[in-house]
Amino acid sequence: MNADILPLMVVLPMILAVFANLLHKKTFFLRELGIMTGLLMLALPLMGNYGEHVFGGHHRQIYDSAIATGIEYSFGQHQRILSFVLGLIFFLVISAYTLSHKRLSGPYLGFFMIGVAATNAVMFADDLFNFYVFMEIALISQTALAIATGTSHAAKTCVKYLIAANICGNILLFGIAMLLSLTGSVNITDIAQKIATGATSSSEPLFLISAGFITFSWMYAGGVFPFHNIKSELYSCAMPHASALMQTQTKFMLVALGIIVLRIFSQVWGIRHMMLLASCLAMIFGVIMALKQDNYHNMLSYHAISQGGYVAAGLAIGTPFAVMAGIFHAINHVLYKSALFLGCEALKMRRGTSDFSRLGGAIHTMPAIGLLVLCAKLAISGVPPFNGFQSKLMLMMAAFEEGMPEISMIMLLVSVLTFVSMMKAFHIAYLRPDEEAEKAEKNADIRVYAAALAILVGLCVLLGVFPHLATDYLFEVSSMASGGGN
Amino acid sequence: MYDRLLKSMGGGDAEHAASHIAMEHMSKAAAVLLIFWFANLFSIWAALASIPASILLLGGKNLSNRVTKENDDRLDTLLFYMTVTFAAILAFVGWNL
Repeated sequence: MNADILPLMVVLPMILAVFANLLHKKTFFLRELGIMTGLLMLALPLMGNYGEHVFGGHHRQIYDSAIATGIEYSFGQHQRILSFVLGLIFFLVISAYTLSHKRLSGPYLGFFMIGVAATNAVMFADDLFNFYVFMEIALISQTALAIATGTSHAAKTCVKYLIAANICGNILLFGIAMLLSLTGSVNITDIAQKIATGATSSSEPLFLISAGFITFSWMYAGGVFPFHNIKSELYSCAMPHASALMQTQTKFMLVALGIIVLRIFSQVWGIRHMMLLASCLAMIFGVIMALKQDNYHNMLSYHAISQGGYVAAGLAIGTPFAVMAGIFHAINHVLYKSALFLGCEALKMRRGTSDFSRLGGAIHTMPAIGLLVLCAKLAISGVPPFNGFQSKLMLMMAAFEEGMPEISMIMLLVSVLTFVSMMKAFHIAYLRPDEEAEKAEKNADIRVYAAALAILVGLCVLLGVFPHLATDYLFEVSSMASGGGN
Repeated sequence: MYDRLLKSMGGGDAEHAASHIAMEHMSKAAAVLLIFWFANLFSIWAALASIPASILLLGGKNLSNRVTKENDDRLDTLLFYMTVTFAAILAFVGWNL
């Protein structure tokens, strides 16, 4: 079946981003446009048919003998749920931005739209070149959202990030070129078929080098070691609502490229070990650096990296159960971390800062937000009945079943430290008495943040109690990624 | 332990002291577990031998300071670890030849 609605999830936000630029500073129209785009991105994944969409009559080689160089999108069960979650975060973030700010910027809103379009394309792409192009666009949109804050620190961070992006983008492109020269195709399904059937040898030096290049790019796209610091710096430079969308994009790109690496290179010894090592280092360094922070936003940014390590570890373990647990954790993580970022922004709007030294006593002035943030903190720490508990338990079980109890123990340790760090932050920001800070509080309207947090925390509880609502969508891809079919 | 730590930090509060202790213990435990996992890829005997060796090497060292230092925001640090990781990946895939 040709999934006709599929290109709209990429093309529509791109076109609407142009309109957002044209409507710069026209706050009323930008607000309407932003919320309408958010609703569209929420509805489209639910309306699309499963299947493939080929552009310009190009087909996979497995259908005929023609050389496959065209663009192809595929839409399976996991793409539907990931795209829906991305649409939800986009809608909540756009609502928070447009309804709580008096002056809206067209280009800033446009970059949100471009980012969500590119991330959808990355998740749908069944050809490596299209994947590469949209991954670059997604990462550029992240940089633009960070640089929009206009601080010199943001500018410096973005320059550093772009240097790393330039190097890693070229490495990914070289890896794709090597695969093209070996297999005659950039279509992911074709390449995986050729490797599985032995038509292309997996011990070819060019194939092995390509494996190394593309795995390195996976680390960059997903923000795991050695890119954990630069990614968290980028998140902390942006506004917290932008950080929420940026970390969602990163997690889903980590999953999308991770699935490609597993489908094509799972036979190469050492690849999954390197992925697992990078994941563990991201988990460990992320949580240690988070504990060290004296700024709430920075702390959350490091936790985003640490939790990304869990997702990456699930993919790296590589069994169907582990891959499913990894993708499930990605979904869970973007829900509770977006809640935490939005909660941080609400706090920042009232207090004018997210420095721990100037926070305190917020539970008296914003009790509803405080309660919802506490729930999100319990979810990220893996406390039942929230969703983080389910996916972390699955990941630990998957590592244990695969004969890696030490990885399970690392996951457990990181989870304990996450709890320590989250409770410390909650105590400082909400519970610690600070009458001066309470008196100096601004009268900003944060109702939209409370509503967004209520939706996200509600979903955290729902997926914690009924995890199969998400995992049922993930069996097909986890079996395919771990070699059960191409 | 708490008092001594607070004194060595030159002040601070209980929350930061607790964080400091947690960071240090986490760093050491994670290092031992990672070394064990890595050695176990090659042989269980190497893994078993790595436990006392790593505890001996890590004992008395302030690992969290080291972690903080190696996770700074300098471009040099990023490029250094990018190069090391890239080389390690290529060495690992080269093992298949």
